[in-house]
Amino acid sequence: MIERVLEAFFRHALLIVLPIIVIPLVVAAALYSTPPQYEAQAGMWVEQATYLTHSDDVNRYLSPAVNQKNRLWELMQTRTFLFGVAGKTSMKDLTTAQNGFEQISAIFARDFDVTAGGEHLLVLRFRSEDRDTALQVVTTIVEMFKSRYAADRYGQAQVAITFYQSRLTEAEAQLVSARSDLAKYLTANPSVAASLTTSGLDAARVNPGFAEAQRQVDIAQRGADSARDSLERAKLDVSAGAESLDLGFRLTDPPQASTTPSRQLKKLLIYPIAAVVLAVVLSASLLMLFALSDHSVRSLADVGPDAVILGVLPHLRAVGVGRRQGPAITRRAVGFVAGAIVPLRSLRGGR
Amino acid sequence: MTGQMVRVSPSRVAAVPDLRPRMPAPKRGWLIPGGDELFRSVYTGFQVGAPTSFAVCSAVSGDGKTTLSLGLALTFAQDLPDRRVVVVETDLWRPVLAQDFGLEPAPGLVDALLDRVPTHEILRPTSLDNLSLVVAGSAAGSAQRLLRSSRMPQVMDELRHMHDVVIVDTPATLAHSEVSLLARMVDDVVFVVRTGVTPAHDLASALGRLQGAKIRGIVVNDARSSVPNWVRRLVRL
Repeated sequence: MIERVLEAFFRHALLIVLPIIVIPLVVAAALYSTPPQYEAQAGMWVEQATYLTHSDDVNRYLSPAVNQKNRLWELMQTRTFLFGVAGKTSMKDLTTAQNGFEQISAIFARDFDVTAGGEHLLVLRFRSEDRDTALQVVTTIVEMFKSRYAADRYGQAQVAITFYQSRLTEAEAQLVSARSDLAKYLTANPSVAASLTTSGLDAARVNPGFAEAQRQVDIAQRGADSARDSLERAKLDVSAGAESLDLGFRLTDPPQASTTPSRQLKKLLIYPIAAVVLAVVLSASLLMLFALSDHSVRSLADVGPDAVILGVLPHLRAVGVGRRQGPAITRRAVGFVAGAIVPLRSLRGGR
Repeated sequence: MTGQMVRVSPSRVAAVPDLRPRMPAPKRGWLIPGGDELFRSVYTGFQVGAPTSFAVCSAVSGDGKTTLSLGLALTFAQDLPDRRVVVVETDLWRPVLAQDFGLEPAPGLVDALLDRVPTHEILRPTSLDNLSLVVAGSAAGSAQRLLRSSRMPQVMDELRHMHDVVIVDTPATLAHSEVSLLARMVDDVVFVVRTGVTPAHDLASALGRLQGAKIRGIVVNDARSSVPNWVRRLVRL
């Protein structure tokens, strides 16, 4: 097999080696032909709001930074958010363009990067040929993400408050109704009321009707208390969420842009390496393709172990005949001794 | 007239008979350096002694059957000047000998098979006195039928009687089933494979088709490797 692979390699050496030379060269040329860019970046310190009573929007198994990174990536997929960011920067014109969303998406996919640099640190980067644009974009994303986060949290709390408010109203109505029923029962049964005030007897044990009315009052009271507690917690969330926004989203590194344009180190290193790897894979695939698709006889071993080899003729090359000698020319060159005609245009120097 | 230039028309020149003394054609050498030795090494592999006939076969076309047939015939003729050698072209589908040697296509094998001419008239002389050629001949409508006809063995017998060595250049074995018949009309079969051209499985199929014929052995043609010698030494191929 190794002989076959070597044969295929040297037979198609140029074709196999070419990708390894050309692809990295093309990638390197493409990298150096793109203008250098300014990079703006901001660092945010994010905390999980542990004091909040509800935390349905976070994955407890991920770090706060990763949670927020995922949120930001989701937001970056939305037209509203992207247009909101673009509208506040020099990309404003794209928001009204026909395929503006696609263009803005492509720009952000290429030039924007958000990384979780640990448990809490969220780093936002944007690269642009224009320094101001890079700075504007990062600043706007930070502001919009922060306000969006606050708005979401506030909205959720408001929904919760409304819900628990209605629950409390309903529970209080039930309590009033149960108390009214109990009062009516006591009015209708004065002996029960009297026994409650005069003797120390447990009226509930001796009178099932009173016991049922009393139980309904207790249930309604518990429901009302529970709804009140939930409402209080929701209200606390709203105020805590609003007041702790600065703590949950601390801008540790305000947006800053590089003073000189540069080429991204990632592109300068990874792309050429990726190109080399791709080229090697391509060349190896080509080599294997050539080796495996060659079913012709290449050596005596391919003829068969039992075959009698009468002789081995090398590639016959006639002297004085052009360099390109096809089988017909070779055949005529062999027959030349007996009078075969070698085409005159192929003869050099005569013989 | 002496010293005077006379302008004559080409038609007049053609009319004048060529009265120059006939000079023997200059002896031609091998255009391929060491070619004779190469072909000699092949035929010594099967030791030609008594009058013999053999067919040169291959699995597919382009393997070098005609080249090998000519090379062997030339070496025989040069090495054994007292033997008469003939090369018979039986590839009626792709004849090349007439064109290669600048000969008229007819009369040839087809004409003999159709009984148009006697067998001795289809023999074409070459630069070598003891080497003759039998070209394919006139275009035949049904070449398969001609090669399968009862006349073919007769022609072969006649050629064998007239020559010491009869070399039959056959068509591709896998493309033409007549090859197995031709192979049985001769004493031996020499099989040619061309490196980089003949598929290994075709070789096995072709050898299978020639069962019943006496296959002397295989000649590997155009044996060349693209792997440089230093690499061969390095990996010990």
